[in-house]
Amino acid sequence: MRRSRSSEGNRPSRFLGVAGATMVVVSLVAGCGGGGFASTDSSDPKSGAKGTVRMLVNITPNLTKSYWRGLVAPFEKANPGIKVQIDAPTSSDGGVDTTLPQLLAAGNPPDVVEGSHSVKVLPQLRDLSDLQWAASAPMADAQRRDGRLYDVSFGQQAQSLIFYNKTAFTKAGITEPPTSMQELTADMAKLKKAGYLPMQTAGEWVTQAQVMMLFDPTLTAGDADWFRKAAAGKQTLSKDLGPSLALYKSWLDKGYVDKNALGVKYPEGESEFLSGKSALYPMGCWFVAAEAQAKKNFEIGVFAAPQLNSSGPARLAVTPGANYRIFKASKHQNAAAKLVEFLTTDHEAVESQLKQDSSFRTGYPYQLSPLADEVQKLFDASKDNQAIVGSGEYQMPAGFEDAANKEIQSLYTGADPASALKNVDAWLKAQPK
Amino acid sequence: MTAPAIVLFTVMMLVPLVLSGYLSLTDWDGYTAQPAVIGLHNYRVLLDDPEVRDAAVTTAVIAVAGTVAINLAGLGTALAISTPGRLNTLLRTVFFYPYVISALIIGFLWSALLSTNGAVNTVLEAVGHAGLPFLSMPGWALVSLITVIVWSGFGFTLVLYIAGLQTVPASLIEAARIDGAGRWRTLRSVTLPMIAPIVTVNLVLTLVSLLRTYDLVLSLTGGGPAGTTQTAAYLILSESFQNNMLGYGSAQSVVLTVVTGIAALAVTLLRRRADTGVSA
Repeated sequence: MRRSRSSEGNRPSRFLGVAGATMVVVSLVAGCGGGGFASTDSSDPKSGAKGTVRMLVNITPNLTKSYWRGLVAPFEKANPGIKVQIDAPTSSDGGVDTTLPQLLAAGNPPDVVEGSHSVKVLPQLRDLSDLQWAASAPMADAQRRDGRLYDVSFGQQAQSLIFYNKTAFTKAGITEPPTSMQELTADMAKLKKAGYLPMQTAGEWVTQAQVMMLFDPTLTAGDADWFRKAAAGKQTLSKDLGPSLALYKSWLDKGYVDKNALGVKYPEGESEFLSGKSALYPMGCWFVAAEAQAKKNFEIGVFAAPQLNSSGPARLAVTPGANYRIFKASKHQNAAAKLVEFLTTDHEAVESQLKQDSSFRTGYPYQLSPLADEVQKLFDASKDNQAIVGSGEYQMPAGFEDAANKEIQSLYTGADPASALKNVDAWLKAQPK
Repeated sequence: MTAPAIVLFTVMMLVPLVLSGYLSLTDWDGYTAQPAVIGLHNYRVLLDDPEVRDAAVTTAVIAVAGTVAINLAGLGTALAISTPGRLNTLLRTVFFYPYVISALIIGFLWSALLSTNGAVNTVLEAVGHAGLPFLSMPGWALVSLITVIVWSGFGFTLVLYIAGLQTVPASLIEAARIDGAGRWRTLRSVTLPMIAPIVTVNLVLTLVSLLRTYDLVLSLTGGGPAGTTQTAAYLILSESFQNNMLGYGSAQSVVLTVVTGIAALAVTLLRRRADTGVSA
């Protein structure tokens, strides 16, 4: 699975290697590569595209180098003049966005990068607005910054999902998934009575991410542009997330969420839910991949996180699954564009990536599991009622997740929601706009 | 003969240090080719940054408590197993072993033991006790972190203390015993003064290494809960590479380097005074 993005952008990445930090700093002071368009290729009579396209990609347990090679193989076959070189991240945390500065500093940027969300690199990216296929990619309009389009995605991630243990619901006498936060709260009381931990959470990045997943639909119900405005410092969490976080704190006080959850790692939390000890698990759609592989003796269902003050139709928070970007400095502009077009429009390539990434796209169903089918249905049904998060101008400033996570975790250690949100607002206000 | 060493030192230590100093005066984000020089702005900001303050306090607690505990454990164990023997040789290997394992692996290992649903709590619950919040409550998490630091680090000091104890002439210990000194008195008046240089080396090395605690924090607590176990080094890496604030991170690095140098010097001078006092 790719590094999934929480509601504000990337899931917090791990960064390693304190010993290397200084040397990284040193290596970075070499002059940055950049520059404008290099001359475009023109020797391929059909497309004017040829050469070796270097693509920096995320490498994960399921997005292996051989997977990437297999993915681009049909493209290379169809375009004999183009070779695709798959580059793995070289930074200590294995992240694309921490590798990029090193490559840029060395004057050696890739032609294409996958999975980058850094805004710092935007000045060095090609504006893809003039390419029709890019402008009609999933969430293309939401991806724009100042009218320019730098990111092209092959699919979307649904984030505000709540997975549930169907056996637990039956034992607790719950016949239908809740359609409002009030119903959800009442259901958690029944689930606790039935002997389950009502809601599974965890420490690390999960605490904050889950809170945002749960309440993104509420935040954006009254104002679809809420995240864009918040990122620009025109909205406060204190005002708009206050009642939701107060409700979350009440769940914590009532034991619907484990007060010792901060000592639980992300994979552990997932395992706890998959072992049947807890009844609800708010998580992004990437969870369907873990569920598909898990051995368990109960069924898991899914519903969209309901809103705080409404029982209206399900509203899903969505973000682009993974983006492709093309660097201005690439000497193979046409070939790079052709490759990205293939990766984001070719049916087989798109379906392969959707399945590998547990992302979704209307019109591109794939076979994985009954749960994935349920998510696809929810996703398709919410087509006209989606909350845009973590994309383009809807992306919160770098560091927001960390800052918010500390404050939301402080609820577990005795802080009150109002002061926690006040601190996050203060952090947001201090960020350069 | 010294030229390669000088070149190596310059390239690996001096140049990065000078460049970090320069970067700390800029607003560099890691991407821009020409960072703007902003003078001492980063230093002014970090003086008012509550996160820096909290991380400094956490680092100080870990460094002081860890240094004391590691050296007490190292010295105590060394005294217990310094005599030659097959069992003692085995014990030395056992105690030294955690030191050679990667701190990251140690952190992941202990987090599996101490997490809310980890092995220790599972055992506690099996025997009818409530689980303990080893990693989920601030005070507990810090104590757990320091405990794991001590467990993984005291083997190194143990080896040095054993080496030091073997340099103490047996005749001196014998003479003290004949003069009627008990174990404690012998330790205080004969053994410790004799191994004073080793004590100083151990204190300085431990302190300097603990002021840079990072990898165990990353793998054991992730800086949590609620950022309460975030150390200075952890924050530097976070600011530099996650938040793209390399200028600010460099300023924090410079401050940490200076503080580490001062701390090491202070310990050395204090030990020297203590040694002088003893010999006088």
